[in-house]
Amino acid sequence: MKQVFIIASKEFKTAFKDKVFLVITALFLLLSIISVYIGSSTKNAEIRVYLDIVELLKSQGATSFPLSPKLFPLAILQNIIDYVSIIGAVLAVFLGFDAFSGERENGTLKLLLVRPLYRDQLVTGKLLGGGLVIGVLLCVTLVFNTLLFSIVSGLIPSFNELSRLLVFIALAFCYMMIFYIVTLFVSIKTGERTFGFLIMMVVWVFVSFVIPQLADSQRSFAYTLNATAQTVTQMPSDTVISKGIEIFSPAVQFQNVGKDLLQGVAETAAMNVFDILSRQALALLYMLVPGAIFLLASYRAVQKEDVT
Amino acid sequence: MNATWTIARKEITDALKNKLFLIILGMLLTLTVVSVVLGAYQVRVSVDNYNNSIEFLKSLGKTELPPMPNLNPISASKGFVNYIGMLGALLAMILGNHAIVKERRSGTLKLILSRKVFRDTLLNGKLLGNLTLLAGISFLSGAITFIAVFAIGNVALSAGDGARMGLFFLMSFLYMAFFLVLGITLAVIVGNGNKALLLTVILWLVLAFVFPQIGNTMDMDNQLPGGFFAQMGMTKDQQTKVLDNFKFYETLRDGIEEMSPTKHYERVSFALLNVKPGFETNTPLEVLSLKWINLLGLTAPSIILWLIAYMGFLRREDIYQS
Repeated sequence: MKQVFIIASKEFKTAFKDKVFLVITALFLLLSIISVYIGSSTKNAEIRVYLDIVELLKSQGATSFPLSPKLFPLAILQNIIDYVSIIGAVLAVFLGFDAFSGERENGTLKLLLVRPLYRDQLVTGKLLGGGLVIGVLLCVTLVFNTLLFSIVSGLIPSFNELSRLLVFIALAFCYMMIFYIVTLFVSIKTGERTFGFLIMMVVWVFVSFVIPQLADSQRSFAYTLNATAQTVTQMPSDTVISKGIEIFSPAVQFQNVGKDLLQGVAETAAMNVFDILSRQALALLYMLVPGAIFLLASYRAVQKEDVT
Repeated sequence: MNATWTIARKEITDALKNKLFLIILGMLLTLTVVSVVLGAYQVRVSVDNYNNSIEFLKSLGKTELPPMPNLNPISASKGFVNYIGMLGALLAMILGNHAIVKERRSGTLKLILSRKVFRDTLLNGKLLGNLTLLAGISFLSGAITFIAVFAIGNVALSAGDGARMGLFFLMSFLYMAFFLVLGITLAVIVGNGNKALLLTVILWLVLAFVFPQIGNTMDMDNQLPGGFFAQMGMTKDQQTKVLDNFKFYETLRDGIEEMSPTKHYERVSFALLNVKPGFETNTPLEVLSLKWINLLGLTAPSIILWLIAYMGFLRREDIYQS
């Protein structure tokens, strides 16, 4: 076990010495902080727009007014879902793309494996180190966001809100770890680190954008008529095909569960955390299964690594 | 000029042997086919629905028949905008980075420059070869779209629609060219090839995802499904009137979005493809002149980056060092 911790601590230290990784980390933290500000200013603007609309309609002699938009406190933080799903995933790729191929290219893999260290311990150490880095980043994000949330909204998060936030961070950790695990697997299987990195970028584009886009193209649109202004609104709704396509994208599953947790969906905004998790059990399963498969595949691939 | 062509030809041959390039190209073309076929199929369904309605009305003895609605067959390429925005940019960055890094890694940069090849000739050849590849990809995607709309959608494009489509693929080419030049420039300036690639990807993330994402989250109309203003029952005039009170906020949002070439590409493309309403009656060239700022946003950064690449490459003194 001692060897695992040594490898993990080395991974942790190396990550924070890498300038490029520090740039992407700074970007991630900056965006997560900005997202709170944007979220709160957009919600404030929304309220002001609503009041302006009511004033405008009153001046035009209208007697019925649209309902006020429902606002939930945690919805201020919901932009972070997109940033974790996009930048968080890339951050995990940056962290893991040379975790194994880097050791191979530098010749340190041979050196490590002639010592009393089992191959599975090497993978576990790498995973633990990567997990520590991701965990620390998410903890910093949680602290900053909770503080900013209190400062911007003037509210102290309730137990339910705090537990939603904590579960969201745990979910974000799992999501980023999935990308880290898949990257580690690619790093084990590919000879050159740049090639592995680019393969992961293609995977990321596919999972985060192409699949959601394909699913979106298969949604059906219902048309609703607004009685006040006689305008027609297009409302997208899921179809069996769009739902089926989405299964292949952990990013979509993460966003769906994340929106429920951060009160982005009005129907689930008042539910407790356990109800949300049981409601989204399938989405969680679809998200976690690829990670589990690639985890096992990574252990298996390392056992077969030829270091002679 | 002969040396430039020789280098350009070598770039094309190298790219066609690059596994990653071929994988991404295969994905991009497959997605083009899928999105265009789906789009063209939707056009066909609409045409069939209209024809069935006409037949039904005729069978009832009606003589006043409704005109055919505008099916906008060129919008079949709408999905392609997003695929080029992501995979096209990635493909171009890989080409740009490899163009310089492969020569440096294999030691052939020294070898080429010790012959009668000027540094600017080498850069021009690299650019020409890779631009030819990107032009080929744009042309191939355009050809697939034209054939799919005709064969599956059962619609013959008018000359105006054809010109719009042609200009749209030209915009796709310019967009990919920007990321190609970005890849080359960073590979020239940053000595370490791996680091240059990582920095290019970070810049791509910021330009193609972060800025548009910030703009999206600041867009009040994006906050509710179906649109905030539509949910509030606002007409277009009322919406404009209300937004007049948020001039600074909207200018800031627009300013952030305009820092992104992806957003410029999306805006000019959606106008050309009639996805964004308001440009239906304009000629293709009128659309371009109305969207000149987006055209400038696509071309000017590429030119500036290319000049930086020139200056960087012509002044590098470490090329012959081992």
